[in-house]
Amino acid sequence: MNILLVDDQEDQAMLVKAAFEVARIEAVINYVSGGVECLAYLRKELDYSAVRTPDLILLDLNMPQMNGFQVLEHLAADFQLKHIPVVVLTTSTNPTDVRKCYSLGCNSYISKPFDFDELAKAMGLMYRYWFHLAALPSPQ
Amino acid sequence: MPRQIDRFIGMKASSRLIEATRQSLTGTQESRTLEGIPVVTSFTRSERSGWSVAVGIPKEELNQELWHSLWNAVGITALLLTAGFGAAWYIARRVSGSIAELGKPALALGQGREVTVPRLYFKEADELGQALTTASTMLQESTAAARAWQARLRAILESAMDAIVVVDDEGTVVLFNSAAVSLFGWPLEESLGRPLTQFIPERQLVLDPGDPAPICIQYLRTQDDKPVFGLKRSGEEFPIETAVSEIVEGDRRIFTVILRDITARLKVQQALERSNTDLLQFAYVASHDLKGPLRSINGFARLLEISYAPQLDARGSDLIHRITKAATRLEQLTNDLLELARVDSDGPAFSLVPMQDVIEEVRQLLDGPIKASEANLSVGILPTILGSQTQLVHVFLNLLTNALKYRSARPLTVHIAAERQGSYWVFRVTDNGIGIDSSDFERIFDVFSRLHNSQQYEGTGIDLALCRKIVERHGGKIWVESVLGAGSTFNVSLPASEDIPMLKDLSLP
Repeated sequence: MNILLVDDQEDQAMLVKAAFEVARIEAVINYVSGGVECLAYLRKELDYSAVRTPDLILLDLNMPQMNGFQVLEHLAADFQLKHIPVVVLTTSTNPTDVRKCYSLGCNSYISKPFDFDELAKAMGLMYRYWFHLAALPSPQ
Repeated sequence: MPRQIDRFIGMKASSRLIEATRQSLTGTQESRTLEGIPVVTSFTRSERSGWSVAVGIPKEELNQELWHSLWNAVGITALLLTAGFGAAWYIARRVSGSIAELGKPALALGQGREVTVPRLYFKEADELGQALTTASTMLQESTAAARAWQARLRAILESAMDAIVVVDDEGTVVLFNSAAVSLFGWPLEESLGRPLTQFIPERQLVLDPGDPAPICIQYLRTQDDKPVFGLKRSGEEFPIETAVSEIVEGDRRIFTVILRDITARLKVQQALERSNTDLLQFAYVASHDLKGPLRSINGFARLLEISYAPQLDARGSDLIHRITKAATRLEQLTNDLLELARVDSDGPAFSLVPMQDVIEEVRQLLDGPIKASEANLSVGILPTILGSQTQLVHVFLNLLTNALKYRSARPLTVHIAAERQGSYWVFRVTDNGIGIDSSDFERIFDVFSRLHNSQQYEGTGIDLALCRKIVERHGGKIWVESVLGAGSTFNVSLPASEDIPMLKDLSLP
């Protein structure tokens, strides 16, 4: 149960992690602070040569340098990475963003609830769906 | 010499006379007396007695009398003729004099001078003369009125804020008011008679040979979206707004052009557009960049509460609770602001929306609160209109939420109905709540106008402003009618879809 969390705001990443804890989910959550780092992590470049390929990516949309949409594009174009499920976790509720993400190949889109308890609930649901109900591709 | 008529007694009358008396009973004949004096004799013979009486008048005397009478007649006739001619000449003089008298004033009248004709001897001439006097007075009056009107027009023309230029069908300037002089910087005497193209940047002029109007008019008339420019004497170009009108005078046409320098207005417009963009930008920044930290505050406060629950006393818990509450409210505000900023720019596309569905969706969304307040909600038959379902749901969700929120102590009833008014449908949401003071009818639709403090009623105060913005985007209006303490009716007018031409086209078989 290995999740890669991509968010430029450290506070938000901390809260998401805390939400997992509050929801009593024991998952390994690794964190990178941007799209460029995300790709480096997945490609095991730079400092990330020893990391494990995540089972799921939790991707924020609005990030400087490389945003979530660009990350989705890169992933779809990379045959070694395109199989990894991506859950977009963002504050945006904009229908255009939702549509765009799905067309770029994301596997689900969650608008981050403002309320922390709701966020914990959402993370619990999401985790149970992906790791208990859905089948994930086995690592090669 | 006394006549001795006795000596003729017994003498026979002349044989001619005797002969005449034998032939007829009466008669007249010239003959001679016994003395041999020629006479004119009248005779008559009595048939019974056979006696004849003849009386002779000497011819000389008779002729003398005749001549006398003749001369008398001739004399009188001559006298009468002379008098007649005199009179005729006199009258003719008076008549022709009268008419001649009329000639001068008639000429003067034609020259526009004031004319008073004296009383004239000849009746017809006098009448004509008086008519001329009246005509002159009338002419003077109307000329004065025309002159006054002309002066007024000239004053208007000269005091007009806008430049007014008149050109003939060659495009030559025939009138140039003072605003035009100051706008273009050309003195009046150098402007008149010049082609109007002198006041337009040359590169702008493209002649349409099919258009009979002069090229300058062609240019100034085309104002669809293309800005029109004027050219000052200094060579400076400036944006103008024009109104061109054409006047046909017989076989020639003249064109009146009203020009206004819109440099300042364009600047204001640009500034306004910029400020609108800034505002939108701000709304986005507010929504995203402010919401991030806000989420953090809210999340960490709640995390603190959860993680450190055993260590926190009641006061500590209350303080944390207040932080999350304030953060939640701020979040709500930023959301509303963002939505308000987005109504126009990111608004969803329009489609046919059955309003029945809209209200049903609102009813489902408010199912909990409606049940909780035991409100009696009734809905009439509603039409289908052209709009955005999402936005319309938003409007009626707000209106219904308000009805639930501002209820009085009475059991709440809310009725939603639609009524056709011309080319609009007016939707009415009527409640029996606390009502709104008439002085607030306008204000409630402004941003951040809340009439009640937040402890009593929840809400950000943007709701109705957002409703108004959405309704206006749909080409409609929103207004309230209310009696304080009795209830309110919120009216939403939306264009009826069958009046939208595009839809008519679509509905063709």
